Amino acid sequence: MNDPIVEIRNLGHVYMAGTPFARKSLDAVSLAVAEGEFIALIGPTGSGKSTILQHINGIYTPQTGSVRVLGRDLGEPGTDLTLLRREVGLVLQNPEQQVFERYVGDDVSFGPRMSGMSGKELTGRVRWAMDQVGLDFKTYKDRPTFALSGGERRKVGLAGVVALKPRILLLDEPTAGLDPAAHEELLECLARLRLQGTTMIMATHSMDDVAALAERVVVLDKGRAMLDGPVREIFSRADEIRSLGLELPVATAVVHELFGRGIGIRRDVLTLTEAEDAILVALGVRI
Amino acid sequence: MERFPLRKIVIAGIMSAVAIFLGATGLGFISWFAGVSITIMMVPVIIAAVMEGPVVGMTVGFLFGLFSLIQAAVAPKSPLDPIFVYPWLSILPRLFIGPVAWIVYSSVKRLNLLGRSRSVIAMVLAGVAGSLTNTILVLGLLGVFYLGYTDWLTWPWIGSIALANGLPEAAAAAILTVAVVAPWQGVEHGRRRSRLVDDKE
Amino acid sequence: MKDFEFLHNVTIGQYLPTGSVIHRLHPATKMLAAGLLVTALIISATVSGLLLVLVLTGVGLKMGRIPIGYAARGIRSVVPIIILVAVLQILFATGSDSGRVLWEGWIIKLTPRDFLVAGTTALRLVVLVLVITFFTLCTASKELTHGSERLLRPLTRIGFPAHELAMVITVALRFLPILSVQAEHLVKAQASRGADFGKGRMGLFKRLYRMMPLLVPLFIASLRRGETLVLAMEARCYTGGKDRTQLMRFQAGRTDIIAICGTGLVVGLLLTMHYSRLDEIIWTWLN
Ligand SMILES: Nc1ncnc2c1ncn2[C@@H]1O[C@H](COP(=O)(O)OP(=O)(O)OP(=O)(O)O)[C@@H](O)[C@H]1O
Ligand SMILES: [Mg+2]
Repeated sequence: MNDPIVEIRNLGHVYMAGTPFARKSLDAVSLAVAEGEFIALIGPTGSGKSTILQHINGIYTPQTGSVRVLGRDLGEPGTDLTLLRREVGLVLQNPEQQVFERYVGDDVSFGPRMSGMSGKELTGRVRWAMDQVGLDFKTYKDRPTFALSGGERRKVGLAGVVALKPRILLLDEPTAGLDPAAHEELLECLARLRLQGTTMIMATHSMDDVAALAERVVVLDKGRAMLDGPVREIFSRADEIRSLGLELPVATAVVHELFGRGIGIRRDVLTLTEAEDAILVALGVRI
Repeated sequence: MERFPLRKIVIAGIMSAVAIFLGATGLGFISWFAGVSITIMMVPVIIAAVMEGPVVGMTVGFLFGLFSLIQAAVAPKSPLDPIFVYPWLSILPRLFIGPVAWIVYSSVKRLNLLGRSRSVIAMVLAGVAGSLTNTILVLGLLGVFYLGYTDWLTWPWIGSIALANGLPEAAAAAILTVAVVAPWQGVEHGRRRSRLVDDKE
Repeated sequence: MKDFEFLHNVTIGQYLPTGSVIHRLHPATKMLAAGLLVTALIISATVSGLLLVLVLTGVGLKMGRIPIGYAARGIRSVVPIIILVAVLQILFATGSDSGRVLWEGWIIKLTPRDFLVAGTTALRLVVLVLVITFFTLCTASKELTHGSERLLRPLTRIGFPAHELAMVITVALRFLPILSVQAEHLVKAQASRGADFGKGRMGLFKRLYRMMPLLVPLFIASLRRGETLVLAMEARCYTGGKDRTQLMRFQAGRTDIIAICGTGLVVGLLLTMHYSRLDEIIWTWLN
């Protein structure tokens, strides 16, 4: 394995430190991410997922421990965080709220524009970013942003970060609150971005999204990293996952349920197609 | 509840909160050079008036004024702040921002000869008028009642502040009013397309 | 990074629930008393009166079981400006020229009187801050609705919409914390795609345009939330007005009458001291 692209060591963070409202959100978390990986961060609400993501693009700098991203030490006072953020894109929850320009094309171009891009190069970049998220450039570039649907506006928000062509893309609950069709489209878009070689770290509550996209899962609880490993392995530890108050992907839950009822069946199953296969094998229909 | 539908109450409350928030965080002050800054705290008052009428505008103006009174007392920032604890300086002028903005907005909007862009022109003028109301009334009252409170509080000083702060504030208010109200009301204006250049020849 | 947390500290005063007699006063009583005192302090600024209020506030804090040190902490942030105001007064105030001159040069003339005036100004600010801090320490923001509604009730007879104004105040107070969370979210989101909100030297309008990615969505998101709030309240059949039952009921009792009478007495004393020129008498006597 090459040098990790993100390396977090013993990271601790307290919100509003030094006030009566101080609240510990991360407690000695360590995490190393290799280039090109797709990692899912899961954990109950308040477990620190968003806080970790915001440390990776320098919104927060480490209070204790260290964070190295793309070879830069974020704890170092001299690190240019604005430059870092062009290479490490963070899509916060509800990115539709950040849309502020009057026209879609201008909002998507905001990031590259701020980094000095202009003219045809800028147009090309916007076209590319809109393609990535599944917004047709011709149809949407001159649409007023206020006349978009919620799902469309979220895609515009996502495109606004993707337009920076970040090497690392951080996603905070990207599919929360979308209708099934928009949800499906967004997953496709993330899969497309991943094929481009972008390293991705996604915080989510949707285990089916994890099963569909991620290679590796990190489970957080009360600011600590509890489990870390390949998706299949982590989800096969059903009891540990459940004891943290988390769900399993639907397909995995089904085969575990069958196994629990005494049916000899493979349990390292993530998707519905795999579950179908496993069930057919268990029934002796297929070998 | 006939007179005051729920939405007017809610918009008044929310715009007051925005005005207070801008003041309390310092986001409502845009610093220029050497400690001089202009304020955009009257923008929520103008927006409330344009969207919901003079009474809502006046209510937001009242709460904005009340807040600036408290702030002048609790966290004074300029040597003049101690006199802004007087309600006739901190509250009274702010009551007029909304109604003036609304009168300008609703009368310009009715001018048919301005054609399609009349609502945007109305928003611009409402922003300018509302902001100037604030500047002229506050500085005017200062000049009339508090000349010589400090050595430099003189008519020439007041005049120079009116120009140096009042005009940029009016422009900023106009820009923000249009930037918020036009998309909210679905009014298109200007270029009607994004600024991206064509990349296909 | 502190840049992204400053917004969270927006509270107009901190409520310190101790459940004391003072805390249990009717909100209208507390508001009326604070209002009267502040008005009296604004009108009159006699050293003797200020000292009286200072001592009485100390007594009030004791009765409210609020540590005096805790309340005094609020003054600390105001000290620099108080000093500034006092120094300006000493240097430039052109009071009556009677009496000794301590030092004279350039446009500056120092007289003992200047120091008296400056001292009074500083003391008055300290006392004002202390009174308002005391009020916020013993009044929860949700009490303000009931308080203002009760205080404005006499005005309903002449058709003043007291209840509506109280509602506006409630909405505003409830909305402030939401607004600061929203703003923090937006600052982070825009920073993540390369925005910088205008640090360093630049023209006024350039700075304004740098702020637009924060200001515009802040207004729009607030209006959207307002819209949702209206729907939610209508769905719950909120009608407001006289017949509304209130969750909290406040009964004005004997302590309230005592508190109001006490405050009235103090205000009367302050005004008497002011108009009888008590300070002048003491001052000439001291000289
Ligand atoms: N801006 C903030 N100020 C103060 N406390 C915060 C802030 N953001 C988060 N916290 C607290 O820090 C802890 C971790 O929060 P975080 O947002 O990282 O959790 P999360 O895993 O993303 O949760 P969720 O699934 O609900 O998004 C929580 O206890 C939360 O209350
Ligand atoms: Mg989160």
